[in-house]
Amino acid sequence: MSKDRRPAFIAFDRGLADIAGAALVVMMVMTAISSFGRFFFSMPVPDVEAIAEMLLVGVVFLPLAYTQAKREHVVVTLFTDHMRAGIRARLIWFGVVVGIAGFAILLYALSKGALRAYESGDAYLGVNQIVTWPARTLAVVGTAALIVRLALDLTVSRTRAAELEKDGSAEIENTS
Amino acid sequence: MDGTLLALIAGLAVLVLLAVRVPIAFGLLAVGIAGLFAIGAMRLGGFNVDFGWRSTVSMLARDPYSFVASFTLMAIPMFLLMGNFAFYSGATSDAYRTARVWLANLPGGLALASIAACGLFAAISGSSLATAAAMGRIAVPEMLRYGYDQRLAAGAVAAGGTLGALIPPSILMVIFGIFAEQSIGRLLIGGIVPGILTAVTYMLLVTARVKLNPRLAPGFDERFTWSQKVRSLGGTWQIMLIFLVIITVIYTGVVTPTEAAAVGAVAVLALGVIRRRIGLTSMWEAVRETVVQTAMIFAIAIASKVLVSFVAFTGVSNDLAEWAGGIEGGRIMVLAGICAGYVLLGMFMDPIGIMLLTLPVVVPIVDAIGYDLVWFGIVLVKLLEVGMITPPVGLNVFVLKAAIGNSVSLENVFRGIGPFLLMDVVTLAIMIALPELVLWLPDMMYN
Amino acid sequence: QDFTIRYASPSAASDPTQAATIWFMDEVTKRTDGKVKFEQFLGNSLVKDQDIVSAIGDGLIEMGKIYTVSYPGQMPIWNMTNLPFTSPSPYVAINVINDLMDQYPVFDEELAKMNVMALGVITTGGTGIVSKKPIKTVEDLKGLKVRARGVQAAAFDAAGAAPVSIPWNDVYEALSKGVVDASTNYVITTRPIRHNEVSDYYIAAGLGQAVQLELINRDFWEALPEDIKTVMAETMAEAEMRHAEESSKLATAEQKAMADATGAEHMEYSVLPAEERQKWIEMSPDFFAEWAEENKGIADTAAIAKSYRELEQKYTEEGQKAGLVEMW
Ligand code: NA
Ligand code: NA
Repeated sequence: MSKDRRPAFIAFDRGLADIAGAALVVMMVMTAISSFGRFFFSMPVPDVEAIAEMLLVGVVFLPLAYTQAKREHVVVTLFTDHMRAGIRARLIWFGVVVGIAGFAILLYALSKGALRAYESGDAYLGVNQIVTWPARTLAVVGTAALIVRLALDLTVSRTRAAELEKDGSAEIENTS
Repeated sequence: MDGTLLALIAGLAVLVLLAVRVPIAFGLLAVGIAGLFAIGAMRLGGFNVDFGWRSTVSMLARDPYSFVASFTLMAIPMFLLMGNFAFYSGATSDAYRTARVWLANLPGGLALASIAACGLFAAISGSSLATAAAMGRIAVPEMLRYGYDQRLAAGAVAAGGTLGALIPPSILMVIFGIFAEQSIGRLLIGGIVPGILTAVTYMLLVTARVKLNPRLAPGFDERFTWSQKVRSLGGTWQIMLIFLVIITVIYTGVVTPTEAAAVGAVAVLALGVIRRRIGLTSMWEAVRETVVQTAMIFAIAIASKVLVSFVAFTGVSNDLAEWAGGIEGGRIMVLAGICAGYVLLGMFMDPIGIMLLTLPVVVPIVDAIGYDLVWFGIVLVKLLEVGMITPPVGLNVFVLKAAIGNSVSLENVFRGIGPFLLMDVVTLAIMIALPELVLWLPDMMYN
Repeated sequence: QDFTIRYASPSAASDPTQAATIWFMDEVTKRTDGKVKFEQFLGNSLVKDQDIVSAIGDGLIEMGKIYTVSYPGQMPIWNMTNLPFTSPSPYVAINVINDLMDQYPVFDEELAKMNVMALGVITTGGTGIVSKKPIKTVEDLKGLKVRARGVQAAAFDAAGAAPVSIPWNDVYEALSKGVVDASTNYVITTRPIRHNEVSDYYIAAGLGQAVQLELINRDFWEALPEDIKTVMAETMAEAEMRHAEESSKLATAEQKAMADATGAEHMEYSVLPAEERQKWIEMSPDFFAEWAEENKGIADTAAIAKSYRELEQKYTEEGQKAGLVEMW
């Protein structure tokens, strides 16, 4: 696979996905430890519910861009498979535009929410009153990265976009 | 403008966007946002753009975050991770090799085994999404490996996943019990017979289809010797051990079903490492795959949550429920109307969202016309599960699609589900015609 | 001019703490000849518990109910009302809190920051314990796994129990399989949320109350005509007292219903003996003093805490005369 077919800046998206992966592993280990600690020693990890919830936000939002880079977002191709490549490429372009529009508004709102949470001291009900703004910031970062990725996708020529789409993810980026 | 009309327009917009291959998450989100904006703008009379924008931002600033930050939803990435670890450690291919040897004489034996496995898995997971997430990665690639028809393989597991909410534990049953003030114990036990019935009808369907068209599931006429059979048994011990671990930690009170997902992932990983089937590289590969799958699934789930918020504002679910309640021609017609309404809502919305919005209206109606509410709760969960696999928005299908990647197209998964949906109609008809059958087990255990 | 008020609440219609406000909404519509109507979104069906305040503040909805415990960060002053070991009577708590609001503007200021106003106060009644094991003494709490949150978790911790944090919807399963031995709950909600099926004992422990506020958007409120404001305020005050009376009756009825039920639904109701409760209080940190110390930068919290105890005394005596106060 030639290197130039890789989407630009994929390393950044992959880095975010890897952070999400680390959060996932922490979530798994922490939950298991807490469960057994609770059962055998009556000693659960304090605030495990709040921490797991915040980790999940990272696991969900941070890999959004990488998922887009790998063309893994689920699409219905049934009605467009028979169309000419040119039309298909336009539709792909349109889909990216729709994605940018929706997620840009979401990004704006999520940022406002994170800012408000920071200012008001929004916190989890728990032993340590963990504040929510860091997790909300993860959601902002993940969504922003997705928009950047989508914007980069718009710069790819339409025919290339169709090609990439057709090739599928595995060929865009081999395990690296 | 009338809320119902607005909802109708939104439904059409979703269909159009998806048809022109806008990614599902993008399409749902855009329509949901546009809908929230429109209904906000019309809130104060006229069309107040400023208020529409402010209320949309207010909703989006909080709701998607709160939706994702949920301990219960953690089960989805955890079971995906468990499935990926199992895949990379080869535990599942070993088990399917054994299944193939033993079930070679059964038409569609591996699909039957997969449906049965979904049923067993349902006993350790509280939701059908979690069941589909784990089983998708475990079962579908194996069936494809043995040359099973894509649609059959994916359809069987997507449909089989719906057993997750019928067979206890079940989050949906608990929520229904609280909202309708019915015994949760009876509801949970009551899900068992319909769960088994569902599995049996699915299995009959697979058998019949493969008999008619053996190409759907090749190799069922292979012959294996007894010594081959006995030797193959070695392949199942890992899966059995893992299952035993999870079921033990749940039923001895070590973990809740949500936490069991994490323990399951740890157990599969540990086994793989001990047997030297998983190294650091393949472990990370599985982790990375899991986060990508999780992001895909949640992108859709978040977008559909935004759409549901909009639908809540339109009041269409209420209108639909009230319409059903007002149908004349006897209580069975009312019930039929209610069922139709739930199927319709299920096409676009998630089960919990539907329940929260409709139960305040529907439960009094059903109660007034004299149906048993435990029975109705079980029928309702079955109906909502049907919604999980109907197009255009079928979360179970998207989860499965995410878990299996590009090997099967979304259209093929939905097409594969079609025949199973017919079986669901049969199951529902039996459940409605024979309430005694549904209530037999809970009545026996609680009286 | 007509008004449609969107109302959101985390509680389902089946939750007895919701009944008074449902009555309020019907009554306001009646008393205003239909000029004020309500659209109800109960049971988290539109906005989640911890999001309701900003949804009201932003004007997305006009009214809603919150559990103040869900806002430890934004409502430090209000969270005093949730501290453990206060009077278990809604009559006492509702009156005390209304008086405190009159005396100390800081309560209103805390809400004003988020552009909301408290139209009413509803409380749950004393927090008790649903348990699979009998709890007769504080000693029995040692090592007990209890689903509890926030400052109540700290109280259990002080008694040597293990507070466990799991989602509310998972508590049924957790009790059923023994993941937890016990959970906090209230006598009036135990049967409605079916914890009676999976636990055998209800112990009235007087662990404080969960204070709910009926909030309304400030701008919306100020723009309402005076006559409507008056109707709403008066009806809400009536609703509060209805809740105090009804929940007191309901508590007695529920105690009996738990005891009378057979099979899995049966529960043994008991009150933690006063001397055991006193022991527990002594084992625990002085929660009021801690709260006053932590928040002294915001207001004269020491004075507020003192007033709370004085008012509590006053209304307990009044309530006893009215037959509305007992241990439950
Ligand atoms: Na289940
Ligand atoms: Na659907």
